[in-house]
Amino acid sequence: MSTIKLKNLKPGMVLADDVRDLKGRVLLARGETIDAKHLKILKAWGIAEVTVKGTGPQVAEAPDTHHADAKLLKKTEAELTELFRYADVQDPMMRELYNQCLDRKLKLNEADS
Amino acid sequence: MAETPKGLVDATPGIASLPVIFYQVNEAVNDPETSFGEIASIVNGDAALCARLLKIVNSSFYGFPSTIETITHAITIIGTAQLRDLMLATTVMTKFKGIRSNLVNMDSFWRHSIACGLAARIIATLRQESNADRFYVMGLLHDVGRLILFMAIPDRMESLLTRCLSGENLLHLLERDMLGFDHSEVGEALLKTWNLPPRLTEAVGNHHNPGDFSKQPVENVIIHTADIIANAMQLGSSGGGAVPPIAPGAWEEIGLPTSKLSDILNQVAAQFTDAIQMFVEES
Repeated sequence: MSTIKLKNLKPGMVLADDVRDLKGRVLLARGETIDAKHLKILKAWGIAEVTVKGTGPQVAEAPDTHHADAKLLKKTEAELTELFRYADVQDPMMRELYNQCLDRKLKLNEADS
Repeated sequence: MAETPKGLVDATPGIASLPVIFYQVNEAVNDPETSFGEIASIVNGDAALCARLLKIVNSSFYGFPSTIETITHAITIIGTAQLRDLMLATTVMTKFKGIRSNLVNMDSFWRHSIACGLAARIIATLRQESNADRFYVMGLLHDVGRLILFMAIPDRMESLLTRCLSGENLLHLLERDMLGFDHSEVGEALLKTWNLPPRLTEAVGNHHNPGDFSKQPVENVIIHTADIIANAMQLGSSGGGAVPPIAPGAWEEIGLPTSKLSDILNQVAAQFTDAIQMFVEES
């Protein structure tokens, strides 16, 4: 099983765990197969991520950098490494922050070049 | 003679207190007998302040559908405590003048502070904390201690900045090496001098505390984290400019999934331009 962001959740995926709101109420139960209506419900309740059964390429997540120019990506990564030099990017929160900032900065640098 | 945070604050001229009107409003807000109309009439005594507050409540920071034209109306919608907090935010930013521009670009300093305030407010909203605006003020004020350091010991701060930019260490750690404390404690001393509430002064005083956040109020850990996010987004800088490390367990204490970070960053970016216009245009 793996935890994925809501935007990557597709109809047909199966929930590996209950989805709860901030107060702990169950919105959708474990084992439910996702359909379009469920996606709408989860979105309306502000759910950020869910745990689904199975792993593999369809649920794998990586920063969205595949389309970037290799040279620009390298330059941006160097800037980010410098910025994060005192932080532990192995920490899951810092890793995500790094990835998000890389994505943002890449877009800025692309707009500049 | 060893320097203390309090000693540096006392030695800095022109910052001993906030404008009288802030304390008048604060007293009125804390008194349950005071009506909205009475609070509004105090605020209305300062036309420039009025205009600034109305601009803020009508901006995307709140996003109300209809125009709010009077302070009384603003209070009924956002609340008295929130109005007081916004007043604090706008008044503090006009307090610091005459800092050498080779030490800090004030514009950049407030941009960093505003980004931190926005991130703190957004995290607080996601956690459904009451009065999320007070987190904005905490974030906005988290680095004011550094302004005191720039005013009180400019030459030594200049040499620390040079060492920081040459890659020696984070600026707050260099401050700690030299003085035995850093700007967070100086900020705390300043806010205490101004008689601001303990939750606020503590959150400012602990934003670089690497200690155990599970035993501290949630305000402290939110400001600590919001500062990291603001630095990572590179929206302005208060000196130094690298991302400080996150204290172990801090993010877990906040209790949001890491996938919420992209939402937080997007919201900070979306509110940033408006917030800059509201809070810094006249300084």
